[in-house]
Amino acid sequence: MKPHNETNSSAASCQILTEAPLNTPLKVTTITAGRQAQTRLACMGILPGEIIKVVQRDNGGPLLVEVKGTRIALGRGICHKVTVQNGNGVHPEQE
Amino acid sequence: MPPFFCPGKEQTIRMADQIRIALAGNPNSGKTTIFNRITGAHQHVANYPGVTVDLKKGRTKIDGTRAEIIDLPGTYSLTALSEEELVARNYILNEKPDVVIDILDASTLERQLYLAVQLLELNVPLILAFNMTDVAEKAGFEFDLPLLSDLLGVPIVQTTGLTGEGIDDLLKAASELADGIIKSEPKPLVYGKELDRAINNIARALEGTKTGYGEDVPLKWIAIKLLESDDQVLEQFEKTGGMSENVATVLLDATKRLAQLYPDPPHILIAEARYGIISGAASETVTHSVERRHDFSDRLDTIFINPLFGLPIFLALMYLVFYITFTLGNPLMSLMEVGIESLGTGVSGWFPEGTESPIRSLLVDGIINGVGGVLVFLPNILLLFLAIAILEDTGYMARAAFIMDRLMHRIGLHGKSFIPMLIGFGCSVPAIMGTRILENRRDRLVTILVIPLMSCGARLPIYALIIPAFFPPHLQGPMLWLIYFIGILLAIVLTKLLRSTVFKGESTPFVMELPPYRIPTLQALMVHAWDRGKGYLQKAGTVILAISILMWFATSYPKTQVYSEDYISQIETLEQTFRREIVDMTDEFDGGLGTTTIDELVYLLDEVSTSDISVYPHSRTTDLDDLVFTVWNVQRIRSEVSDDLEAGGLVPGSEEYIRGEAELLDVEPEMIDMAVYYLDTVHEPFVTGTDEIDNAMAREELENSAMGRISRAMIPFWRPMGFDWKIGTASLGAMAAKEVFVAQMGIVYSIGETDEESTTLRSKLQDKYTPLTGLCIMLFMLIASPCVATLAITKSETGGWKWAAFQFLGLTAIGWAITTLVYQVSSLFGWGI
Ligand SMILES: Nc1nc2c(ncn2[C@@H]2O[C@H](COP(=O)(O)OP(=O)(O)OP(=O)(O)O)[C@@H](O)[C@H]2O)c(=O)[nH]1
Ligand SMILES: [Mg+2]
Repeated sequence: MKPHNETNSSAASCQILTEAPLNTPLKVTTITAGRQAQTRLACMGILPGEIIKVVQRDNGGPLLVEVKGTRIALGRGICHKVTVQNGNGVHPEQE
Repeated sequence: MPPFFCPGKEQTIRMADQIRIALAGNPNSGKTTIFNRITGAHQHVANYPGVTVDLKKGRTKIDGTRAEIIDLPGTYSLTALSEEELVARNYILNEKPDVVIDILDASTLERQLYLAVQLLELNVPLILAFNMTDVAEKAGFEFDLPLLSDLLGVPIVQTTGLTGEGIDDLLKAASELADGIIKSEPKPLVYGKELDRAINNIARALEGTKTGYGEDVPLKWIAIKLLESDDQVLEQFEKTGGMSENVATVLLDATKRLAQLYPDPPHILIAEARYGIISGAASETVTHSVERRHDFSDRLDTIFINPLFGLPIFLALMYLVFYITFTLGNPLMSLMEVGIESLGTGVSGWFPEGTESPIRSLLVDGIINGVGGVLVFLPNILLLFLAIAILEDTGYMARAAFIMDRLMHRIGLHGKSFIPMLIGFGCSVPAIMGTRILENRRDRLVTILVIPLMSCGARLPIYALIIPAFFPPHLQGPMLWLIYFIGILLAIVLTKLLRSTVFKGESTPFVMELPPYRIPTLQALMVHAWDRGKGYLQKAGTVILAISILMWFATSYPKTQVYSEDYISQIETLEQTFRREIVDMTDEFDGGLGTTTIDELVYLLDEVSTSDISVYPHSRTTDLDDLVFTVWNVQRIRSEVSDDLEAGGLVPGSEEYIRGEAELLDVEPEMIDMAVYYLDTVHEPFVTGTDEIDNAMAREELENSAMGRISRAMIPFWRPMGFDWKIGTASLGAMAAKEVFVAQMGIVYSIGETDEESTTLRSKLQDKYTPLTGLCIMLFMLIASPCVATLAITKSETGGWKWAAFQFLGLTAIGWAITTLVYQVSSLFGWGI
């Protein structure tokens, strides 16, 4: 949980999840989806500040994402609504 | 009665001599495994009122105390967003189990604790079961359980569902918790300064107001849910006369303040706070935390969900599933058929020979044939469910959904919908039951509604009858293919249509965990397959039974009182001729008829020439005996010849052949002549004659029955499609089960018992109809009205007749419209006539 002024400090480096590099730690910055979709993602561990990793992505299909030691398939549609920035393996708590 | 005092927080008196223990947990955390370990064989599936998600209940005894165990659906959280979560949450809230055990997969602890935190919010008597200890250990996790238990305030027990280790401790803890010997006192959860303030303010405002929840539901929980805009909590407020103004103001103030401070909405802030609590507790008690450990699983995934090989592997596996279900299942199915048939014969045997008993007909033709027709699929269905259980329990099913998502996405469905649709080519009933793997209700409803368009196995006999009758050999294959293709195409179009009308709105995002691959236990597979198979049996025993009886009445009543011809006297005439000819034949026998009466003789001869008794014990002392003996032998040799002996040499069945065989039996040639004469010239015309009359009667009876009358009243409905009332009657009959169409056509064309191989029926159809009508019949059978078993299962799986009616009316309307269009346009241009 971070107040307004601390977020998106480096908005320039933000990427849409579908375009993010593979097998690299990524920090979720925003999820611009409806409440239901956000909640669904949150209970799978995907929410702003979390470090995730895209493991597989091929054209048109869903993405395979690693988060909290589990593997989650994410449909293309929802992935377009998630932005990430390079996480460099830094855990949110350690910021 | 003095109060029973215990050191537990609730200080309750346990009046019941039974404790109730609910098992909650994430999907795949091992709930069912532990449930089965605890309850053994003493379990039954209970339908939770109002919803379609099954709650499994079972019993056991803990130190002599009876305990009821409830296996809740697996959920990731306790929001009101999915049916499973609502069922789990409402069970805990409304039924107030004595103990809630949250079963966690200790190898992915942080994510799994998210649900646990939500259970802590509910302040229920909670025990955490750290399951999959073996996996966690192998992965190098170490837990400081006493400290974690202290931090959270709840007992923790380590278990391994696979071996049963720790389950006794778990039960002991549960019973001690229920008895108040140990405590489960969740420590207050700290969400952060601002959130805590908001939650506390709202909770305070809620004090003394009506919330729609019981008194023991914590106000803080309701406050959190209000901040999350939980649909069900808001609904409860509506139901109890709305939120008090004070609460509304405090809530609004709180959300406003949070919005000023943070960019994320409250439900995200709360989720973040929960994960914060978790990582706080984990950092102190778990070593070797967030890192993937399922190396083997990951390696398998590089093959199974490979962009290149994934799809071929999937298709191969699906082929295998079908192969198992329908190829290996068919011998078992034949066995069931034989069993059901002999049951029918057995029951028939209770009734005196030759009498027309309506009760016999109801039992045999109505119930045994009707329910039996569905029951014969049981082996296939059990095999199919077993195959599905294997795919699910190994973890492959999630991969299949992953692979198919790309294609299914285009028509507005998830990858998971593909699996039930595929099953639909076998039978719609298990397919619709299989939609339970779809967690989203809209996806599920759309899938259920279009499944009948996947041309099921029972429709194949119809195509097998029609196609050869109207289409030249080189077009027969493509025709069949075309019919299946039309079904699939229509399903796609319809799905898109439903998605943009009735089930409009953004499709829920595809979010699905790919669990690590596991080797399933045999017991779990059996339990899973049997659970579903049992549902099928229940259906056969209830709805299908009722419908079978109804269909029987509709085709048997009202009875025809007056026939258009005097069939009875026609039969009598035939019988008299038959008798007379036999008397004439045996006129000059040595020793006359001896002690045998003419009635006995007629019966005897009729019997030996029709039934397949394998040994005919008869002494041959008179000519009469000789005749009976010879007739039987000629008949036997003829049938053996036609059955087995198709080798060269003498032409089997030829006169010489029979004679040659018979000579070995030292029978006079005249006697053989007489036997052949009897069989071919006396008996054969009698049998065909009476059969013809019987069939004509059956036809008239059907015509006059409720079904026939309804069909004739529906002529305005049939005519635009080019159908007459006969096709109409058969189409109505097909509602009982699609394959009934063929049998009904047989009856309306007075062919008697018919199967799809019947050439007589085919030639009748050729005479009466055009290829266009043939195509129209197939189209209508493909699209319109699913069979009653399908409708019944749609009803029970969607929780009401509404969707079953929608499916019935919708598909029938579409079927009618398309068939009519095809018929009218083709007629106009003179195609296929
Ligand atoms: N290695 C290991 N495997 C386990 C253990 N407990 C359960 N399993 C396996 O985990 C898989 C999932 O178990 P289930 O009991 O079906 O899980 P569930 O929680 O009922 O899953 P849902 O019904 O989907 O919510 C099965 O293949 C089990 O054999 C355990 O302690 N160790
Ligand atoms: Mg289960």
